[in-house]
Amino acid sequence: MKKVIRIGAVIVALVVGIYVWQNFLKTAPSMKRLDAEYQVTAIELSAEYEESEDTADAKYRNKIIELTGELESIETPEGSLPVLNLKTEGFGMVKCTMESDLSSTEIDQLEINSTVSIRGECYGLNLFDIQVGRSIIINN
Amino acid sequence: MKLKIFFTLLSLVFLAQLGYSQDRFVTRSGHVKFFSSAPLEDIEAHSNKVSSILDLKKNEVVVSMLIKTFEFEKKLMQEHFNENYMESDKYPKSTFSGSFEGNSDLSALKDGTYTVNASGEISIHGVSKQIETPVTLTVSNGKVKADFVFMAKVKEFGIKIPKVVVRNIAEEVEVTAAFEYEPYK
Repeated sequence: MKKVIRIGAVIVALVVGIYVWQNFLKTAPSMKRLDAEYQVTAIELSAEYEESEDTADAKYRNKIIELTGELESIETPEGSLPVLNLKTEGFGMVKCTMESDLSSTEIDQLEINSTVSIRGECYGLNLFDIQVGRSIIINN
Repeated sequence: MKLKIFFTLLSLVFLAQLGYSQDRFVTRSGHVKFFSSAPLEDIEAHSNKVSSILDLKKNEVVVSMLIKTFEFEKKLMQEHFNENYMESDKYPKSTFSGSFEGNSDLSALKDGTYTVNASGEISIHGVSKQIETPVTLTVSNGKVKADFVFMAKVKEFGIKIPKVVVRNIAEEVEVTAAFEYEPYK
């Protein structure tokens, strides 16, 4: 009888543990392990948002996308994650906030006006710029 | 010769007027911080990707931010903030649209620091409310800086705090904003 109680207690502890881990401790998987739903250039993405924010939001917002574009600038704000800004044909940019910090070597390897490909989560349009978060560079 | 000097001076005055008559300013890297102080912990998050347009001629201001651009020290906390409290997939943006009171033409402001009252509609978590808050405007070398702080009661914006974390999250959070505007060209 004691054995049954012990096994029951272990099963309950496991179930509670899995529930706590799934709901309170588990973080989203790294972008490296995710597949993109869309492949698009920064110029195409910007043009689609310019044509209709609602339609573009329905297609891209909260989705994983692979973006290719010309690197306009790199921001490394203090206390925040680095941002790669990709050129569009309009006033806005596609601002890709990195998933984690970039080393100074990685930043040095990025050349302004060069073409970069990025995978990240599209957050949508914010007045001028399209924000992409959790970004990683997939080739440079 | 005198005529040439006269026209040169006139052009300079005209160009100076153009410089001072800059009405519209924009920022795409405005900073917003929220700070929650509760018995068990303090929580702080920052976004430096807030966009805003300031029209000093019309005394109007528009601010827009995507909630997912808030960065937390702990990744898990950031995920819980977006998924459980702000429901950022459903309510991705927070906006403010309002005007400044008390001054008829802020575009005439000279370099210096001024306090003006801004009032308008703020939208957070899909709930819109009227707010009024003092804003410090600093005009310097053709640029404008705006700073303000306001308190937001999470309940008023329909944000539910589960009982299990009620001692971790404050009922009222402090929102601090600092925007450095550039002339819109």
